[in-house]
Amino acid sequence: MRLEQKPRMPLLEINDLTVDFNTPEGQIRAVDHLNLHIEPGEVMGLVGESGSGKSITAKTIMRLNPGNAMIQRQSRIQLHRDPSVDVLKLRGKDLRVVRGGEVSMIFQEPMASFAPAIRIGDQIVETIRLHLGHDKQTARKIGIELFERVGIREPEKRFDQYVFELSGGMRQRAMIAMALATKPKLLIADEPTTALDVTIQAQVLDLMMELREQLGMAILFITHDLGVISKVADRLTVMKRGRMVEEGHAQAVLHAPMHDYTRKLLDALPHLNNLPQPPAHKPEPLLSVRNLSISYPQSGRRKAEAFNAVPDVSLDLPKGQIIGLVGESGSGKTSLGKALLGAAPISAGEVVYHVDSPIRLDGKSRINRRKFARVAQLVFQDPYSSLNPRMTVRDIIAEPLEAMKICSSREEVDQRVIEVAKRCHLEVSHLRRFPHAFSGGQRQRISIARALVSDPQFLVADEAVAALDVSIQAEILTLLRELRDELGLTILFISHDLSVVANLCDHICVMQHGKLVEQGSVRQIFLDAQEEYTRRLISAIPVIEAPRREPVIA
Amino acid sequence: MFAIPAKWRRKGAASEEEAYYTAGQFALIRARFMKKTSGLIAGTILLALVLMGLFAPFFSPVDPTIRGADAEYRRGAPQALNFCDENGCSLRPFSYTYSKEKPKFDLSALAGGDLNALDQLTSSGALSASSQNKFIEDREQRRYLQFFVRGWEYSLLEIGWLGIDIRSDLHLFGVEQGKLHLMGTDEDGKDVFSRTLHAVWVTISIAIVALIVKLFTSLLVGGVSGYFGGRVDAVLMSFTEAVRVIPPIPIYLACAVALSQIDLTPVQRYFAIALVIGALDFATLGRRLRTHILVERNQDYVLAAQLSGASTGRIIWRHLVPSFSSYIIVDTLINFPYVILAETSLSFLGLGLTEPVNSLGVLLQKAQDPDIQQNMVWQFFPVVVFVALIMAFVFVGDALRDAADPYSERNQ
Repeated sequence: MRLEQKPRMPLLEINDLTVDFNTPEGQIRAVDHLNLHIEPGEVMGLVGESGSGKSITAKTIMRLNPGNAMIQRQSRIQLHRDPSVDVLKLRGKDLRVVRGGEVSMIFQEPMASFAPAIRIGDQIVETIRLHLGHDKQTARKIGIELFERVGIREPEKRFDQYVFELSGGMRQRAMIAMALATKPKLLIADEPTTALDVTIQAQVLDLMMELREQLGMAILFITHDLGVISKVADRLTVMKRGRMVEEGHAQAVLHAPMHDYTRKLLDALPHLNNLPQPPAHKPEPLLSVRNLSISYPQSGRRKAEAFNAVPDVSLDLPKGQIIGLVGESGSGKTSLGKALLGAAPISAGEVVYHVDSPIRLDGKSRINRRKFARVAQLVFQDPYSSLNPRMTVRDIIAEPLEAMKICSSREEVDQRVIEVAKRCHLEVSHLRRFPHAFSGGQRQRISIARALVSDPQFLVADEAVAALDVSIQAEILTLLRELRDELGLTILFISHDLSVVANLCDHICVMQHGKLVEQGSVRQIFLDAQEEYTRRLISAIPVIEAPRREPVIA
Repeated sequence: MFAIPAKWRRKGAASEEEAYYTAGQFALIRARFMKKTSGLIAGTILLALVLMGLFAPFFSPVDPTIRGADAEYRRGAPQALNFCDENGCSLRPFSYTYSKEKPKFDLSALAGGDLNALDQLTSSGALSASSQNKFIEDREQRRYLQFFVRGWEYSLLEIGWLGIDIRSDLHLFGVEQGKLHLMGTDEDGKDVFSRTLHAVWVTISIAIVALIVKLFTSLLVGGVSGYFGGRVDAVLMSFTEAVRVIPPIPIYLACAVALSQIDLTPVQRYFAIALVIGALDFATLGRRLRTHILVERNQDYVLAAQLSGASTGRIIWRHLVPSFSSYIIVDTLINFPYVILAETSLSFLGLGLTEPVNSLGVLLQKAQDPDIQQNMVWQFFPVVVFVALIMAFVFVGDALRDAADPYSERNQ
């Protein structure tokens, strides 16, 4: 516990921090004259979209920058302890002060942050022995106590497991335990809950707040999610392209933002207080799912055991509406989406498309892809791996037309591509480029354009906005809504994020463990959920609760 | 209706900045390659060597076969080109006329049947080949260098099955009378310089044939194995591993022995060797291709192509192959020296190409003869060319690999 020896003395002071990157395109400024201070025991939220320099700032505090980063000379990072140190001047072993000593870090992806082939316990024991100089037995005892403290059940057993044996939430708890092992004064959390499901996210956030109360450490909480930050931060710093655009008390920034950019970020957030009205009538179903089950053959020698991802689902998707499919990871929602497109193994039941000549997918007969591709298409989650890096945008969008030989001439293909590109708000002059020249949002537009080019009636959007920044997310959602209204598309929108679904969809289905637990209109689900699971999902959504634009005394 | 596509095509490449972003894979690789000094220098040297090899008859002053052998200048040392000597200077470089020194021993002493005289004669070394071939340069009789001279006739381009045979007798340089031996001659009087130039092309073309065969085998084995997976993959890969564990030299030996049973002309044998080298060398590249396809076929964009209605063949050719074409190019270039080395080691063992054929392997094999090492060091010239060729290939391949990898610059 830290005593207030010198009042008003911040724990960490960043002055004029400027970081440049050497890239093939020349020097790029990642952090631009940033000033920031963190008081002991407070939670400082650092918010910004991707590329705003928030992670680089955190890494600079721990001196973990990549090799091509250049910290400009006037930059200062003062860590006030006994005596104060300038972090940027530390060398060799002294770096341990910021690397695990006074400062610890929690990373976004706990799976990637633990060594996969070393037991978690051994990694924690090593940290404790290095920093605190305890012997192995004592270190182990401390480690198990920490595991207990971060709420890991059966800590003794978990302590000797490998990282892949733990669930996502457990991994992040273990990561927190490791970060706490040295009793740091400052904990840097870089998107600690982004990779987690909403319910787990809520648990981890609660845990972090609890530990902060108990241990009195300061937290630098980095996230792109304003909803999350509103739950935890005392003060907020908003960054844009390496610059600080706004700074202040969390309530003040969130409810009375001064800067346009902050306002834009807030506006892009989904709001649960203006849910869309349910559609007036329920149209005919475009496709029906009857007793569908999906099972994946297990890799291995014996064929007998198959993993049953979705046991038995029946569902009707109404024509011309956006249907949200939500659930936590592992609930089988992606499997269901893929099965509707004939890309997952159907073991029983069938999917029927009620189009001019009905298409039936039952997992036994071969699918006529050429016919089917003109009916249903997929928009992928990851806009990076779903576009072939060696093809130009024009070729990517034209691929369905050329593969199915829908158009008779190249001119016709070009015309159709241009038409669809405009529809998806892509610039025609960009068509010659390769996907690497585009940002995530633009890539997702390309992906949507490719799906639309063959003029399908049904679109599966599998976590189509999960990898995007909020403001870009909002643009893509608007586009999807436009497509529904103007082209009469039926869209199955798969998402783990209920708040995204709330403002987009007409109809929501909730899945858990491969079963459909509840379905209904947005209002039914959000305001009058029947199932305990649905209620838990909804209550776990981090939303900014207090009414906005309310004067707050800072 | 037709105007629109044409319009946006032009618009795309309008400005310099635009061109940077619209640049294709090939243009990006070329731009990065141009930044590498070592690669550029090596590339120039390589290009020069290959061109000189390809047009060897034009660049060589003397016919490298036995027809062009200079009976008057066997085991002759390199003939230097001079600009100046004690008789004055000349802008046009010149060489001298060489004449064979008459053997000085007295045969009449032997006529009496004196065995001691015979003994003395044989032990004096006067009968050895090198002392029998001593040359005197006649400084008074200069031979001036001439450019674009007419000489022995050769075929510049010969494609037998098309009936094309362009013949010429023009040579880049030569001397007025007699022959010029820039790098000396061998024991038959064949010009070392001309032989080396001819050998470069023979060796490179063997390497090309071998690499094409190798590429074909690798693509077939790796592609089939990776795309279909499962049992096909298991069988093909265990076969590949089996081939890989056998050391190459014994295989070459076995093949060479088998080939020698069949009556082949040197040219046919040379293709057979190339085929053997290529076909046995598929394991590494094939395995890498398989791994690459195994990874790539699970990428989202392949699923996207499937959902777009693309057929299997289209997915492989339009989507999968381009993603590793740069890798194949680079791997092939880097492997060039190894294939040349394989040919060389075969020839070196005496099982590949043999003496009358001009190949770097043959010339290198010759250079291990103690007689050459002691008395005709100029026959090491092919070794120098060989080292230069290999180095050029390695550096070009290295620079190309860096250029083809878009992430190489960021790791510096």
